[in-house]
Amino acid sequence: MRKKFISERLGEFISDLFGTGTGWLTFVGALILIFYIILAVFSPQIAPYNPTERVGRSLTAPNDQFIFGTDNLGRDVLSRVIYGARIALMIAFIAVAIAAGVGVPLGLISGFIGGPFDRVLTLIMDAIYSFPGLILAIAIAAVLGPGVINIAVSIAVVYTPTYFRVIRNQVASVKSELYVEAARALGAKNYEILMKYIFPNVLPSIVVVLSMNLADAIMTEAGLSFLGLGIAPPTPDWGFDLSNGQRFVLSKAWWGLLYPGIAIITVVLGFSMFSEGLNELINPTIRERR
Amino acid sequence: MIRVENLKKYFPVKRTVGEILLRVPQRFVKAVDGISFTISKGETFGLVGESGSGKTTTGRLMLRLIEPTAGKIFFEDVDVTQLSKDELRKFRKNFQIIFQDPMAALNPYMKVGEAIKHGLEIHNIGGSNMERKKLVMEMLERVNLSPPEDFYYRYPHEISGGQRQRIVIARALILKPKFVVADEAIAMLDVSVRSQLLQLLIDLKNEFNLTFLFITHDLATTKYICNKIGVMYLGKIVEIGKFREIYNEPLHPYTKALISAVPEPDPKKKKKKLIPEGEVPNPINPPPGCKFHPRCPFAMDICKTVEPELKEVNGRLIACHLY
Repeated sequence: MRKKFISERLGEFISDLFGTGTGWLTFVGALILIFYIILAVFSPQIAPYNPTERVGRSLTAPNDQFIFGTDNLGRDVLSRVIYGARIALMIAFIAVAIAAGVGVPLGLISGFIGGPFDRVLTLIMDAIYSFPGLILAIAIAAVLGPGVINIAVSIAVVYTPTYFRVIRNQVASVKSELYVEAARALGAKNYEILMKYIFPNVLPSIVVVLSMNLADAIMTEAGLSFLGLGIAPPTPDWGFDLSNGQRFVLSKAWWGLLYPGIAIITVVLGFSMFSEGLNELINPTIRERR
Repeated sequence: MIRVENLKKYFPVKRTVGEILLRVPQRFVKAVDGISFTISKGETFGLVGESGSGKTTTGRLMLRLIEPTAGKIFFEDVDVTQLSKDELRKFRKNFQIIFQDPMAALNPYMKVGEAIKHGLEIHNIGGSNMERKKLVMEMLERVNLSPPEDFYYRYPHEISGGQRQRIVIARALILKPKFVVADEAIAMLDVSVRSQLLQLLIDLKNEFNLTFLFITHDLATTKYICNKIGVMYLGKIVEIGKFREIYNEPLHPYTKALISAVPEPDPKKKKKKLIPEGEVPNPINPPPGCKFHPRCPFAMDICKTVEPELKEVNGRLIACHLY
């Protein structure tokens, strides 16, 4: 076989990627995500005004000075939407990190060990899972009180069972595969089998759940703040702005509602597209079959 | 070198809740039901039989990949069944297994080179990573996967079935084991690749001075590699002896049937076929007496009640009331 140059391989990879719809899906999703991440990271530089200060008259309709208008307290909606990305993404990432950090190891161990330990853990997780997500998050958030970490924790509790279940079931099926037995025949230790043979085989399913959960977490966070259980008020937050904006829709101030809403929709869409595409890209066997 | 004594493996049959409540006694599938044999150093022992006869279970038991219900396995005077988990793990470099299905036996997310190297890492063979890599490259070359650099970095789905099986062989042999179980090692491959791999196994066996347990349902392949064969039927060994003797003059009716089923390459030579009637009985509920009697053309009354023991006839062991 002829040796290939790196550039040639890269070219093939890219043409592979965009030869199918999957590539475009991932690409557009990634673009949206990068856009919001840039907004979140550089919000002080991008936002035209301080989001918590009164900068104009209350409920100014979108104009040259305030592109997205101002809210009832005269704050710039555009700046608040930009700063809102910060809170939304931060909470989503922290929540998903906690959920995955707890759910994945527990799932791995539970599936691998099996027996009574597995049964008890599965029972607990199923109990958590049986609550409607938002209701459970509301209950926990109400107990913990406002704050970035508290909100993240209450969302994480809702999503931990998802990781646990996905991982546990996969591990339980992968551990009876022949290559796991082969590893045992080689004399591999249990944790080596778990980390080198089982974990890589269940990883693709985590990645998908991960990016889908990010989208879900943003919605849950928005839902919590919409209900007044999120971040304490002056901090810009899409969910809170949404609920604040809807009070003035009857005064024909549609902008306070529309722009945070669009932000939520697009970021969730971006995550969903990205996760969908990632799912197929990361799994070499699925890609090979095409 | 290897001595198996009265090895048994019973798999419990799952009972339904109703059966537990009605106190239906626990039933077992007697996959391996008290078998004994020895394999001397450098010998290739062929274990043949129909599917469901317990050949594969025997192979796994011998490596203690599954725990035996009873019995002893001596490997150079070490009783493998008595080793602790940790001792067993270290001991594993002495015996290796080549699996039947090369696709399933390789981790799809591990480069094949890494898969071979992992065994070296586990047993700490070769001091540095570079040295281990060199050993892997040599082994790849040895199983005729050259140039080795081309194969080292590939994933299992990127190579063909025959190449995968070569990788599986390389992974087993790089630990320089003394004893190798080949569990239908070539059964799933194309006929064209089969003979090449069989030749490879024969060459490697001579080169590394291996002792083989060659598990197969295909008597024709045992012809090329086995010195000694044991014929299994429903968890029992019915005949053990030198390959030549058994092949030329099978004594047990079941062995006769198996050998008559081997295809004859010369179409002019008409062989009398002795295919046993019916199916292999359900192992949960095997027939009393000799397990083969419902299908045996020579069955006598005694076969229905008394189970024959292995006894020596003409220098081999046979479990049959005819002798």
